Amino acid sequence: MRKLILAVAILATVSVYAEQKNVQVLTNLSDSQLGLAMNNMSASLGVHCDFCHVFNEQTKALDFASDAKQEKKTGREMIKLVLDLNEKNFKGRPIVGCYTCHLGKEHPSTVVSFPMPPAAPTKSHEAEEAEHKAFPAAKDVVAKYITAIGGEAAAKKLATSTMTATGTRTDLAGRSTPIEVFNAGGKTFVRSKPAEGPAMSQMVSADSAWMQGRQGVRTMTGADAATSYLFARAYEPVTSLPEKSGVFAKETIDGHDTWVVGSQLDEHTRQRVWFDANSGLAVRRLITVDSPVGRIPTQTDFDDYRDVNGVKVPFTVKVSSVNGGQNATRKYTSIELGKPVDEKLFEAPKAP
Amino acid sequence: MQLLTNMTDLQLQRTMNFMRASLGVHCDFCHVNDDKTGWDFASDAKPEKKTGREMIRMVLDINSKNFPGRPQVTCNTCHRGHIHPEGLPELPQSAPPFPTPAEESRKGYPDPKDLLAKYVAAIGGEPALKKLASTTRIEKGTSERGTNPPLPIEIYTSGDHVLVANVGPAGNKNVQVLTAGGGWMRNKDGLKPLRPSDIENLSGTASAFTPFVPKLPDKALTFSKAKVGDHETWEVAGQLDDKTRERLYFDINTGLLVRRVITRVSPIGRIPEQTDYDDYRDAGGVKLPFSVRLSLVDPWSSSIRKYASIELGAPVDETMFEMPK
Repeated sequence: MRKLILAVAILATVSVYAEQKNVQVLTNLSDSQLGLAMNNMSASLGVHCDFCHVFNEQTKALDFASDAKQEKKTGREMIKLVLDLNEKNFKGRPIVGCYTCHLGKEHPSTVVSFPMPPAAPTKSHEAEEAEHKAFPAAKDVVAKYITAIGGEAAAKKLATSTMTATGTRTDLAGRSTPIEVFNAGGKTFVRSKPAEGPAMSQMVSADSAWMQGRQGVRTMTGADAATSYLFARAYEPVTSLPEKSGVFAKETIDGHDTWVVGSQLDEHTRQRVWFDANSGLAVRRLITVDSPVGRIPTQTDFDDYRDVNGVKVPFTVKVSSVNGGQNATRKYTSIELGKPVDEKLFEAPKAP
Repeated sequence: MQLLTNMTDLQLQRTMNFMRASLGVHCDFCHVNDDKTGWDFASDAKPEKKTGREMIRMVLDINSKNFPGRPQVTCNTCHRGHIHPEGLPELPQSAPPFPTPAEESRKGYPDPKDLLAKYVAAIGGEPALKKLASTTRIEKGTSERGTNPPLPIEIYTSGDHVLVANVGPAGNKNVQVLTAGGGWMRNKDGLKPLRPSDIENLSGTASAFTPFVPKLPDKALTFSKAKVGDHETWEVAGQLDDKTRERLYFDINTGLLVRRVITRVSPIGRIPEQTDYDDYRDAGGVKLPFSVRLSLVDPWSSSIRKYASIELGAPVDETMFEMPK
């Protein structure tokens, strides 16, 4: 267990403190983008950073700039392979990523395995089109969701009003910590009190971020701030979808029949939301961001919807990422909407 | 044929099936199948076939650029039985081990020669080897081919002559004979000589079902400890020639061979042929598998044979191999 906690702690710091030294192939990426691209490679092979990067036993730190390990050299060759492959065959779109072949393993498997399931006759294009035509329109799926959470006014309240919540946060290692969450005006403040060690708090917004912990107060910038903002947003419930969205599949998630609605959020960002076909509620959201080594996913699972002053809000929210340190499940015990939030909470405390 | 040229019919058929298996689809995914006129393999009408060609070019290009000469990346590397490969890592991720464990050392693995010696002892030792070297063999039992139920089969072997007599699903009786220079077959449509592609197919199947002759491939190496069904095994890997590799899986406890996989190079990857051995019983002083399952990328040719009897060295009437007038 200790080992696992250490591993998670290291993973968490990687994206935060990555400095760009000796970066040869994945250039022109922000620290945050580079950090996530690295996590995506690690997740694709099912390995820790030390698979490619030298771990210095004396300093107990990873030497990211070192090229001492053969695996790092092979990694560079592989990145070149992926870039070349996408450039030549998919007009530069990151269709093929590390995971496409590796599937979570160091060595991809090339040979088919026996026994094979019998092949079903191929569906005709007509049959496929007919199936797609029977899909509901995305706007109807979204409208059903809005109705399910309480109607237009409820959706607006969920999107714009302040939120005060208490509950627990459980990380990948299974450690649970009591937390308090405050949202107001696009700013999020999260305070946690672990059973051991000092209280921790973090504030993120689109343009500023800070954290307070064992080492005092620290302003977050660059990768640090961008990554934290991305994950703070990942906990927010679904409130609206872009106009240009489409239902492209019917899938089953944990026994729920769902409609999968896809949208493009910007040139490099895509979103898929799974809506329960019966209840109308959103059960999963997946946001992918393009990187040179494939699209990088962040997944949010919503569960335990409960009524808060006429708005149905998910009380269990699980965020999964290629960055293991950010994987956590929040279980709220109380959520209040529209309650005044003390603006002082969002200001970084002055050092004593 | 534009890309996969210079192949025999069987090689091409297997290569096509390798692609089919990699995507988990039937031939009609790419090829036109008309209710009235049947299969039109030459037609380029379907866009999937055109995409298939692009993909073959891509695989050839990746391998020639990154893995000099070796067909390292195949259709299955990405597709894994699905039409659309998955590029997104599956979430949630479990924490990877830290520090990264060193790859298991092969030091301490048994020598392949010792595994082969244990196998020979398990099937009956030197006397068994002598018996295995018999030039004649008669096997009787059932064969379950593709989606058919088990149906009676008899196989008579004398040197490089093989006669397979089986009963088809409709009760029809078939005979196929393979001789040194050719062969013939008789079924409900009558009697005819084998075409070169039939000979290739039939001799491929006959050799896959021939009892394993204890011999190690070149450069044999005990490669890993592998689980095969319920068996813990030692996996021995080596090469039969520069295009063909063999993997042998010996049960750690009994020493018996439970699986053999032969892979042959094709432009789009190594194509496997897997034989699983089970139900070892005594056959006149040799322990032989009475259940043999052959798995190919072509599921319609894959089959399980369950023998009721195997006779080694039994007299075989040589006239049966002659093509009737």
